[in-house]
Amino acid sequence: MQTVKKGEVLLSAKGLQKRFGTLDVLRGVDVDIHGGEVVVIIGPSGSGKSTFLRCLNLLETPTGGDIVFEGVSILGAGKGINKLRERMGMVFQQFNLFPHLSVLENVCIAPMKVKKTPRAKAEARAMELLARVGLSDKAKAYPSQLSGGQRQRVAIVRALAMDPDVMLFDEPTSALDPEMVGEVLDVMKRLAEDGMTMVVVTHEMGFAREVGDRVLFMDEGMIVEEGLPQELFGNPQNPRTQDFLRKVL
Amino acid sequence: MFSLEALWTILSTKLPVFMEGVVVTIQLAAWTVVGGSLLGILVALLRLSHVRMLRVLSGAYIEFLRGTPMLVQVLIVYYGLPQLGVRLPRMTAGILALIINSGAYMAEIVRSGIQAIDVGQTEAARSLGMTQAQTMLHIILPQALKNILPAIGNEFVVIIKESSILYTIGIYELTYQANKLASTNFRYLETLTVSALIYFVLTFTTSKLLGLLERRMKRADR
Ligand SMILES: Nc1ncnc2c1ncn2[C@@H]1O[C@H](COP(=O)(O)OP(=O)(O)O)[C@@H](O)[C@H]1O
Ligand SMILES: [Mg+2]
Repeated sequence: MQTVKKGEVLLSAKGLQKRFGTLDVLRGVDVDIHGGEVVVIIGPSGSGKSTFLRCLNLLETPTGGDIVFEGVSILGAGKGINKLRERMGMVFQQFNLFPHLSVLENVCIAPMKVKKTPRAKAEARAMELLARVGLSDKAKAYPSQLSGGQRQRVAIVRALAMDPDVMLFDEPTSALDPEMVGEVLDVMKRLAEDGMTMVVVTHEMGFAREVGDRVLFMDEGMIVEEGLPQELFGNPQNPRTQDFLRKVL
Repeated sequence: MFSLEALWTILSTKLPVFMEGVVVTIQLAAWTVVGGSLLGILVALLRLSHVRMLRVLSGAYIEFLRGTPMLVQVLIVYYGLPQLGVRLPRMTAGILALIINSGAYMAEIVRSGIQAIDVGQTEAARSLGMTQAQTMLHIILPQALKNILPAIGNEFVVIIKESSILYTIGIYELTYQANKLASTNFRYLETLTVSALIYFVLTFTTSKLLGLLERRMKRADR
């Protein structure tokens, strides 16, 4: 397994295209994501942000272009995709916790079944991660007994338990009541501070500004503009970016 | 003329004979619901497979078994198979026929149960690196089976009733015992009514017990 050092390109999309029937959702997306970088993707609803993220770990199969992860093109990976997905964590808007499993089991199941980690070791690691997000006391609880914010924190821990090299977040706070947004963003912020490589689709402009190393504005299946947060928010160049920011800020 | 008195005499003096039949009927239904569930899971997985051939074959199996009389299926298994050199004990043949039949219905129940699980569950599992098989085994099936438990219980009740068809191949289940008794006491109406009452007690209590279990599970359901 190849580990990418901080600052080197970890994951890149090259001319990525995705078409659903006759609908061109991604129309040539080029992005390089570097080790340790936090890339925030913003853009209007329907612009292809989720599709882009989901192509990165092949939950959707791109119809054109390429994705290179740790130096390997993943489109030809075949069954090897499972190995690659182990190293890409994903957090969903709707949490997608496993309702039939306790919090601890949710976190342990992938390490145990996929990596064959012994139960004791997987549980110890899970408890350590749960403690980090302040949920030690919920280990025995079931997802339906948790608040939205707690669920999303468990979902983050579940992904982290696989020790991924990159974390993909698809609007992780959009399904939350406003008072719970902060607790999830805090966890993400600490993750960023610990050096995790992150790709975050979000409408939380405060988070983008504060935590993002780079912000991409996506519209109609293309990256229309990108830059440092202060540049893109302070002085957007493209009229579509300006228009979008005027609406959301 | 229907005689309540005769019915009472039959019930009070011949109950052990009926009970012998009840034991066999319950055995038949229990084996069938277990075997039928396992077969149903297997066929449902084939039905949802990515391989077209498997989908077609499993679909044909389901349609054929649901579109032909169960009596004919039983006769084929019991009288037809020996012609192919497969000679099964009576009881085994009977249970096999019931399982093959019930498996087709179970397959549809299981399939709808699997399809009712949110795709987000599959996506979350796959995003963690689980294979398709691991996802099905650890994430989808446990949830699907739990959701379809009431439907499986229903199928159990159906099988209790339909197992009566096996009297035609001479399995000593409830209907067989009743029929045999009636042919000696000539009280067909009363004797068969007793067996009907017993069937009703069996299915009614089973339904009630399953309903109770279901409610308890819902309450325990976080
Ligand atoms: N599985 C799908 N089938 C067909 N169209 C889809 C599918 N997924 C997404 N789309 C379409 O692709 C477009 C982009 O969707 P999405 O990537 O979810 O946008 P965003 O996340 O930016 O809101 C939308 O028009 C959406 O309807
Ligand atoms: Mg989206």
